[in-house]
Amino acid sequence: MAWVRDAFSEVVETCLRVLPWPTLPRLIRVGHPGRDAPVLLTCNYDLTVRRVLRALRGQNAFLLVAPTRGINVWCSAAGGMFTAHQVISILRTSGIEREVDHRRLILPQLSATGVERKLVQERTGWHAVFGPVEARDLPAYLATNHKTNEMRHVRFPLLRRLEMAVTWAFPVSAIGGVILALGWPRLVLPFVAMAWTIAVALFGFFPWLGGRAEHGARETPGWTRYLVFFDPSIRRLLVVWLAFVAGLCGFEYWKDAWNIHALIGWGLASLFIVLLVGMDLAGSTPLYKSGLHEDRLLHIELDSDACQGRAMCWEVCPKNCYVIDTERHKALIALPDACVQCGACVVQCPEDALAFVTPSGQRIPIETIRKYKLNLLGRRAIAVTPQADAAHSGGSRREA
Amino acid sequence: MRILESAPERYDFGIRLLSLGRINSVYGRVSQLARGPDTLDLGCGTGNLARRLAARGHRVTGVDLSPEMLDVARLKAPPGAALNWVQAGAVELVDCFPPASFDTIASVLMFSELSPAERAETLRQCHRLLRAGGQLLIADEVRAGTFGRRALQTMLRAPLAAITYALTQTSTHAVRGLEEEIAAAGFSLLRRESNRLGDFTLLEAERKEARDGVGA
Repeated sequence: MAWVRDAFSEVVETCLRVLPWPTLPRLIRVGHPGRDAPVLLTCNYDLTVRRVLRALRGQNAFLLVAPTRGINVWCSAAGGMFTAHQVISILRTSGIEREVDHRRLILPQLSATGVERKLVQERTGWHAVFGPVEARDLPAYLATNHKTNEMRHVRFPLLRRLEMAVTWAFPVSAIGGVILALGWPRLVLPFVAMAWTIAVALFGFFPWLGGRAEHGARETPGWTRYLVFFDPSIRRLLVVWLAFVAGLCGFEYWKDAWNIHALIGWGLASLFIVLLVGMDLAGSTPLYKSGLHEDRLLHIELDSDACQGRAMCWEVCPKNCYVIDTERHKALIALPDACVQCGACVVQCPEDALAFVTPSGQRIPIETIRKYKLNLLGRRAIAVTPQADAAHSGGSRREA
Repeated sequence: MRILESAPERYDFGIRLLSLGRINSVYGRVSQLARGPDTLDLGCGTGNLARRLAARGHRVTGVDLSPEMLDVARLKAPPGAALNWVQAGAVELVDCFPPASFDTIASVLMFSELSPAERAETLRQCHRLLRAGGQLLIADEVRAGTFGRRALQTMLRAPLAAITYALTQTSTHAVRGLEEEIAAAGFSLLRRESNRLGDFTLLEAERKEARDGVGA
């Protein structure tokens, strides 16, 4: 009953998605691959591997599972755990070189933040290209050998948003439920229902709760840098909380039994849950930059003289920020505001024509980005930004 | 997510906590056994073993995958010590060093981080990098031999591992079959020292001359 086991694993791993789920790094044969079959590579996050295998049903291909510590593609690439080294490792240890005559490797596009293709080529002779963002686009990509704009673009559709709601609702309701069960068992069910309602509301209605992601404005007070987890405008969270409190009031009105103590108690508890569930919006959605406070908001600068229009930035940008002027052989940053600061374009630019610039105008050396991977988490940021005291951001991406 | 953030400066604390402070004696014992003088510290982390080896007069090269770990190692290195740091994966040693570059290769708590295929490839590369009669020293967490000991190992370790991971995002994994893998890569086992529970082992092996298909 493989499908039962598969479905069970899917549910458990979605509920506990905040944890790494490593699977053995290995070579998987999909269908009956021949010596010219495509070679794809992914992370060793079990959920991702199973989804890629589902997407590849009916294909003949080799799938390499790289040792990325059981973390998904975008998170591990941004966190420095899915780099050229992990790619080299699986190429050398899987025996794939004995299986195929070619040396073309298809990487997931979101690994572009971490994997330096040049190093892979130098050390193994394999030429890496970046395939589509989503596994479900692999059959079309393999059939045409062409990546459309759609395949390049990271989106946040309803199903993915609900998955993120489960990711947060499950641990919050499970931990809170267990604690309440020890002393106040009758509160367990209402608490669990509240956690799931709030999580589903926050992520389900996400696109309508304040438009695009809000980032800290220049006038944001300095202390907000300590609220590193939260959207500084906090409007989204407030909307969901107020809606919930309004729902509570409506319920009391309907029952015609106003209990002000219960209302205050549940109102505070729901605020706590809203803050918990909304704690890591930057990591749970593909809409925010890696940092939320103005100190960590970098912008991309393009050195037009150095650019030769080889379009790697266009190829790897998950937000379609770039266009290529094919006549002048130059890239243009058409949608700078859409940038989520993933750093893939900086890492992959063959001419080193792109760099991040801090709000104070400091240009972050490209080698620093390549070495520490983008992320700019915690102490790594101290080395590269002048606002050392502000550098305690969290912001990798879980949803990829 | 912050929990995914690698934490090099907390790594040492995490490993000390997980090993209940015994890790320092392991570094001490490995450096005592290491013959050198050209020594590779494979998976050097923040350089705890490398510094001890350098203090004993070895010319030490520390290799680690993590640039953050190496940054800490460089900061902690005493000025003028014969220490050299290289960022590379365990299966990229042959890209960084010519054959027969070292007299000793030492590795503490690194092999348990690797998959079985990575361990086999790493050991093959170690064989290539060692000079004739070169010494391999591996100290690592291993799977205890009997069911009872494994159960005890799990019970003792689980709460400690959870606390350590929560505080430092650091953990280790018990490896099995390490002695067989070392032998298969063309080494002769010279010494095995284990703790009472049998879940931590120090292995000393010597490079045998390359045979056809083994360690070449």
